[in-house]
Amino acid sequence: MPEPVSYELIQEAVRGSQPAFRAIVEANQGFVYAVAFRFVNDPQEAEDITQEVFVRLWKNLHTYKQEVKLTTWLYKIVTNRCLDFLKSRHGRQRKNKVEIDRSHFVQDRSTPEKEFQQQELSKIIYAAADELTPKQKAVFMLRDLEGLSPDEVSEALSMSLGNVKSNLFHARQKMTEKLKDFYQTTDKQFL
Amino acid sequence: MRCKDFEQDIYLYSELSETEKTKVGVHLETCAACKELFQLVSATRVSITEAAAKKPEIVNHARLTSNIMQAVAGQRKQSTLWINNVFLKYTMAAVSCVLIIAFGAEQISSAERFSKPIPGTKTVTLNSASIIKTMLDKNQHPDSRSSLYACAKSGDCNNTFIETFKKKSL
Repeated sequence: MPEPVSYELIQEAVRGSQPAFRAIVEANQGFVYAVAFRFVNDPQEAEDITQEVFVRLWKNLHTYKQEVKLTTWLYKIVTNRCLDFLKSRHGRQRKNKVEIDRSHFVQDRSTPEKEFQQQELSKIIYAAADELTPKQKAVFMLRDLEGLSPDEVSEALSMSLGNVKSNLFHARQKMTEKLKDFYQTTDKQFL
Repeated sequence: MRCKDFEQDIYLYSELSETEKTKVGVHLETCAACKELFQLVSATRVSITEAAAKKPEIVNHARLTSNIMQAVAGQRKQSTLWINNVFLKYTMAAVSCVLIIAFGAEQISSAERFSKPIPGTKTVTLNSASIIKTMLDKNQHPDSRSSLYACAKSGDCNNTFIETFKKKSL
């Protein structure tokens, strides 16, 4: 989670200050890009979505209310944009030929074997996440990968808490099934 | 409670309250199948948490920031153009309204002008009863020389000529 941006900075940006808006972009573009990339698995698409998210933020910044966290608002915008992308024809075509590029992830330099093992595992997790329904994927991404609280997920996706839990249950069930297969086929003892 | 009832709680263990977690814990102590599922789900959670720790990185932060700021600047320009455009639209609408009102007022004033009698003319009242009476008289007294011409000449059926002519035409 990025450092929260001060309300004064947001107000400055609302009044038209470009440096203030730039500071907001710099503080938040990393996590917006990460969410977008996890959804679409393509660096270029993720950058385009990140750009659109901030343009949308700039357009609607005057309606910002202090009681909502800016990050929650950004999660909402980026998730909606990603869901639109996945629903689009282009997104559905992409899904069929997705090849996850791990070079865009922060590298773990501990041991080569561990690194390789983690890369394999990440591939399985992201491939399994691609098979979830868009809602399940959104809930799984925000709760299990981004670490948002159930209330924050509910707020970001405009979904009831019960609905969030139901989608999370089905998503985790599917993910567990996929990983169980992976553990069995690769003969690895994780338990 | 049966094992099936605990399945959802096992998957949503991290979302449970402390009381609910205790209930699940008590069940796991007596049920090997549920304990196995719980271990599998926990292992999956650990794998996912490890994968989540590796965040996708932006290739070039500065370039992305610059692209975003350029896109925002483009929006600002468009927004200004849009304001100008809206101003132009409202101006055109106002001018159109003024023209419509002026045209309407002109129409009303010309209608009033034409409804006024032209000086030097008389109001014409058709008197069909008079010509019918003349015709009836002619039928009753066939020798009389009463005719339309005579009627018009004498002035008895004044202003009826046109009406009679119309009737004949029909």
